[in-house]
Amino acid sequence: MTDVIQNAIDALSLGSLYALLALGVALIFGIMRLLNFAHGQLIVVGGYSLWVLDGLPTPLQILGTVLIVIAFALALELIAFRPLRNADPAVLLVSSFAVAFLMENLALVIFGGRAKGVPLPEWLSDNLVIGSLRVPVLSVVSVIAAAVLLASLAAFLSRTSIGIQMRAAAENFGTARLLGVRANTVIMAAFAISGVLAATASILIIAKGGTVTPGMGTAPVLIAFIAVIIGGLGSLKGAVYGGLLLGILTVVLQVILPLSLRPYRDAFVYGVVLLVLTLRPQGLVVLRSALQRV
Amino acid sequence: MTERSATFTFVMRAIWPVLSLCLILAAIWLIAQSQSLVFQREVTQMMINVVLVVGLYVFAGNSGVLSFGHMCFMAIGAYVTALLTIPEIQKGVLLPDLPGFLADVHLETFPAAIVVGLVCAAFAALIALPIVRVQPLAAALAMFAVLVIVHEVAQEWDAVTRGSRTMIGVPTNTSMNTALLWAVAAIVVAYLYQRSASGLRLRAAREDDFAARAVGINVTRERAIAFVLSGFIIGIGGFLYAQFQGAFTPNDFFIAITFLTIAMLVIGGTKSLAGAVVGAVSVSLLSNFFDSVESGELGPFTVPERPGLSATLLAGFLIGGLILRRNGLMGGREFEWRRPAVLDRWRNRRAVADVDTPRNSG
Repeated sequence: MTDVIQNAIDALSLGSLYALLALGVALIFGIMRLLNFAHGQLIVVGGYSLWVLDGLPTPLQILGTVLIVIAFALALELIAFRPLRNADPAVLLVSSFAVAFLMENLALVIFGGRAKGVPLPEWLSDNLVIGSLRVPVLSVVSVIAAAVLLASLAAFLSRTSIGIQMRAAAENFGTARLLGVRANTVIMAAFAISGVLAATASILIIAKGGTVTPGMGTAPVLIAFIAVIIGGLGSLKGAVYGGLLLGILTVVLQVILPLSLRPYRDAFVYGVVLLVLTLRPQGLVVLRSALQRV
Repeated sequence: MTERSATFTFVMRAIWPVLSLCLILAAIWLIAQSQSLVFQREVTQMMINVVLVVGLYVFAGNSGVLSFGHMCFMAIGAYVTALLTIPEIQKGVLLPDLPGFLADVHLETFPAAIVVGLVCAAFAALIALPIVRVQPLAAALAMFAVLVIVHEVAQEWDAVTRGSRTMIGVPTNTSMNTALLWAVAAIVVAYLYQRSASGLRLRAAREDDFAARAVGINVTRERAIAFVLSGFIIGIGGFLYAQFQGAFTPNDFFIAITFLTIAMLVIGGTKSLAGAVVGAVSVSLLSNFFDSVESGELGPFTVPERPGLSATLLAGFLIGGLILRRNGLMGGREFEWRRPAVLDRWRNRRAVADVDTPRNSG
């Protein structure tokens, strides 16, 4: 029984991390049809910010990291994506792929390929002991962070003017603009929020792994993409479900796969993803606005 | 116009889009004859890149569905090449746990290439169903999932792939000449396919999915055909690479080569075969140049060595190129046959003279 609860907690915390990642990607995609490959590099930026700002009091270190990541997210949109506004989704995807590759290699040029250790406060790596249960503090923090961010994002999207404009833009960008929604404002806001999400994910990932390398952004962004796709492209709710599902699937496979097959865990995860796509090509949550009309 | 020159124009119109590309490659090959061995190796690698990018183009270019995972076929091609062509005795030492029939099999170079291509095509057919059915962006990333799976299997399956250790001992039969021949073959096959009924149907669907479906085109089937053919060609690319390097690891077929081939295709222009070839050639040249900058030689200058610099420059170039020319260098056009303008002018002048003369004398 203890094992089951232990694994459930693991699944939930991994799932909420994945949901955060997926949400950052889905938000941008919903508004400008850009699958932002560079989202993963924002996580790397977050990691190196933590490393550079090491020595400051923890709250300042985290605040600084979030601000730097937001600045990078906005710079990405201004420099790389704005000149390509309205381009074909495939062109946008390739350009974001190129941006990610550029940032990864720039980090390699600047910081070198060796992993940098980022010491974070010790209480993060402690365990909460409840009876026979040992719950890592980090898991609790992940779940709480994800829940808080999700709730505030939901409130932002439904209560504030700019949030409502963003939803309108995601539904139909052209019509929203005709009704007076400013394209640049909405897109900048989306990038800023994706920056916050990336910074949070980055802090959680660094807290778990303890080091930062130039190449560490690729795996998370791939997970985010897959989660967004199985959730249904363009749907924020779908992205959250997709992320949770992927996290749970990963932990479940880790537990049930026999030892000899365990190294292939990710292969199985992606195999299941391909299976889901075979059975439901549109993803789990199908948006009416995402369906093409003739 | 005489009948002979009309026939000539007709033939040239039909074959020039291919012939021009082959001539470009042949010219580079000819120049390389008198160059250093290092340069010749770079040209060989360029020809292999042409095969890979043309393979990617057959699917991505004709269908308009990008793929971030086509290099999985290159990986499979390279590993199958190793299993088929490493001499048996050496194979016994390198891969002692190899399943029986794989341990005994050995093929000559050319049959091995064909078998490698067929294995990759079969693998493509196996995974085609989910890929060709989902919407284009999802397909691009579903292929990435396939690439991750293939990469992980290559990295963990010690008995067959030596895991993450380097696979060595592949006979190095890929010379500049054979690479050129395969590149030409890939170009010809790709062109024949895009002019075939199936290729034209797929290109119609690329331009307008709904209109194509409305006239009865089975988009899923046409995409699957292109997908399998591109798997075959990229598999051959993997074969050439394996027999060129002689040694490789799973990481040779992962993010870096995926990025490089996509950069080549997009810089050249995804929608035409000329774009694929021009992109592969120009980016290969550029990447070689950036590599030499990275390792610290810049013509007569030396700059400090900086790992990652070459890729950074290349990525910057790609972003700049995309912003300036969204549709690539070729902008989706092939090299079309036109009679040289000089010839036209000369012929016109003579025709005018022919008309004028009798009138004047009369």
